[in-house]
Amino acid sequence: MSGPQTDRPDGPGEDDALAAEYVLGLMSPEEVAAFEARLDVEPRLVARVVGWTEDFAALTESLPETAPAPQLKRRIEVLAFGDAPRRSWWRSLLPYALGAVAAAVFGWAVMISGFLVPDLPEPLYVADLEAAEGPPLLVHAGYIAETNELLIRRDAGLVPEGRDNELWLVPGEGAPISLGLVPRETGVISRRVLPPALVAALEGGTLAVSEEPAGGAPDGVPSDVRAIGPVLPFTET
Amino acid sequence: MGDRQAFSALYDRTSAKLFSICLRVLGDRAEAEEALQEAFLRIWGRADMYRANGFSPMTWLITLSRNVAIDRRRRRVPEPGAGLDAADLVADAAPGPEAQAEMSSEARALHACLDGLAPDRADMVARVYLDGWSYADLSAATGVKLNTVRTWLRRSLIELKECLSR
Repeated sequence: MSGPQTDRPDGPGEDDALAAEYVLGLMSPEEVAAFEARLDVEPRLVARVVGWTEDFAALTESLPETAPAPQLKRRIEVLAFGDAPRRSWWRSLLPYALGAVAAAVFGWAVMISGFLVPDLPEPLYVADLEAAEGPPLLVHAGYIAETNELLIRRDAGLVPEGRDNELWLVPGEGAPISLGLVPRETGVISRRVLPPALVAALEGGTLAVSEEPAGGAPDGVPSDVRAIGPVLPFTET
Repeated sequence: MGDRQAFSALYDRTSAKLFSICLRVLGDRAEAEEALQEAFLRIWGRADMYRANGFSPMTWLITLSRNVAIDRRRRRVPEPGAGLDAADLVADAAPGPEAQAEMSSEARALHACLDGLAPDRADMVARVYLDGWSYADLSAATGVKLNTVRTWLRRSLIELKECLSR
């Protein structure tokens, strides 16, 4: 074999030593180039590299497993796949999640710092409601503990003229409770202060969106359920 | 959405293992997390390639993470070799009997063969693989000429391979 290695003694294990140096990253860039040129045409040399790679990887078995910071996964997912739907829809709700005074402060904080202030209220619970069949319908809801408000936004789907979509809380046990009408237009947010009994029922409950005559279900019972979604604790990571 | 789920499952199964490698190489959580992030993005970018390269999947993940971390370590200035001395050459790659019991047969064979080398040579192998030391680092740490260190290590590697092939 010609190349930069010819000045070295060709013992029986010479290629094994070279392959190990290659795997360990001990070669100079020139040596790497020469070695890789051989790899292209010498399957037995490739097998040596694979063998050493497997051997050395076993060295890591003695390292104690350590979990990285929990938010790292989320960061990598955003880089690999873009922002998750939940986060983006929630971010767009944020200015509405604050009272009028706070909203002014929020706008100001963004202006002076260029960053979102870290202690914005976050929803305690969220629910994503998407119609599994029929015409498209997507509604998001989030409950803010600080203000005791439920925010409801239509993100997709039209409701026919003379009809309305109504939001319901289906507690673990008992009959559905109306949470009011879903805004008719997409992107519009409606807000509703919840009585304490309803807040307690949110945890472990389910939200549902039904289609009703204009103004809501006449007898207080959902008629045509279009979408359901579990109430989940909000997690950003 | 399938990709996201597959990624999530892969991450949950392997991140603690791969993070331990980055942490060992870099010795700093923040840097190790950056390295792990880079490793996972590369893994994900080339997930369809691993079949072609002949390694077992876990070996591929380990090797890629190790190489990303080593590259970062070597890009640091100043060179790590500057602050090293021979006392550093007590690498903690040799696991206790309890840890050995949990190891794969490959890992046990490897440690048995490493034990067969002179102790300082086995440490060199661990230093190079787990800490990314170069021949220059080994030479600085031992006070032995670079070419001599190189000859030592190459001989030890050949010995190691002969032992592993038995």
